[in-house]
Amino acid sequence: MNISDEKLDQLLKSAVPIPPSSNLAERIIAQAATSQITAKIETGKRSLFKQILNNFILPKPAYALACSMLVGVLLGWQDSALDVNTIQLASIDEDLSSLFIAEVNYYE
Amino acid sequence: MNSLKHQTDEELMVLIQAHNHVAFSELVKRHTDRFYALAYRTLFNQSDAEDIVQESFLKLWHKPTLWQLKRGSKFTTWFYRLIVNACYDLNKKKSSQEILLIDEKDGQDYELISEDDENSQQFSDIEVALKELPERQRMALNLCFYEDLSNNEAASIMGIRLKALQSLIMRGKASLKAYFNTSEENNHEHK
Repeated sequence: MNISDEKLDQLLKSAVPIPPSSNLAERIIAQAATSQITAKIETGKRSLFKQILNNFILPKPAYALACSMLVGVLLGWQDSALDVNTIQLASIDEDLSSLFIAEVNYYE
Repeated sequence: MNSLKHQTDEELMVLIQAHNHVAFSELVKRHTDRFYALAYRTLFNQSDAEDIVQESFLKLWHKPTLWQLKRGSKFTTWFYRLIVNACYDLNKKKSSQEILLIDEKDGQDYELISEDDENSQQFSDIEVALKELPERQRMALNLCFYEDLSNNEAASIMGIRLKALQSLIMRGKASLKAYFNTSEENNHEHK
């Protein structure tokens, strides 16, 4: 009772799709041509605006965001490292000067 | 025009990227029937299949740079992928609409609508059997059996591994065999 592979292949081959409308290709071509004309008119009117706008469009926003975050973190890290050094130097200076003032006051 | 007929799909695509409408026409004439057949065998609806092919070609016309020669993929492989994804999207959209209908009308209207759809088009036994297959099994069979693509190409179009594709084909064929065996048994019982 089991259906053979050959029989199944024959059955599969018998499934012929309903043919498309005779003018499907022509319809696609015509629609592309009309959209081309509209696009040309549009570019004439808005070309300058679009050119300016295009300069602000990021090609890969996710990469751009990741890179800018990385740069931000690096800059921030460098700044904070500098700040720590300056704070440390400043505090040592302040401590020394306050000690000196305290000593002078004591002797006076 | 004659010279365009001898050019490869990839050469035509380069011309289309330079907005050559004649090259686009040549490509459309060359491949419309083939891509329509795939869409039809996936959706089993003529107008949906035509819409998918039309939208995909227009997408190609508007954004020809989506295909890139440098990536080394054949035009047909790339465009098959476009059609396959569009079919999947449409099926998803349709199934979500059907779920909404069931939710809204407690199943009554949905049954009426689906019956109307079935009656509007006559399907052969094999088409009914293919329709009952899960989407991915059907697509694997379509690409390998009807479109005559190699297993590697079909796997790359579907975005799956070769072994997964082979398994889909095997399971699809087994389901079809089971379908025909049970329908034959039912026929014998009726006699």
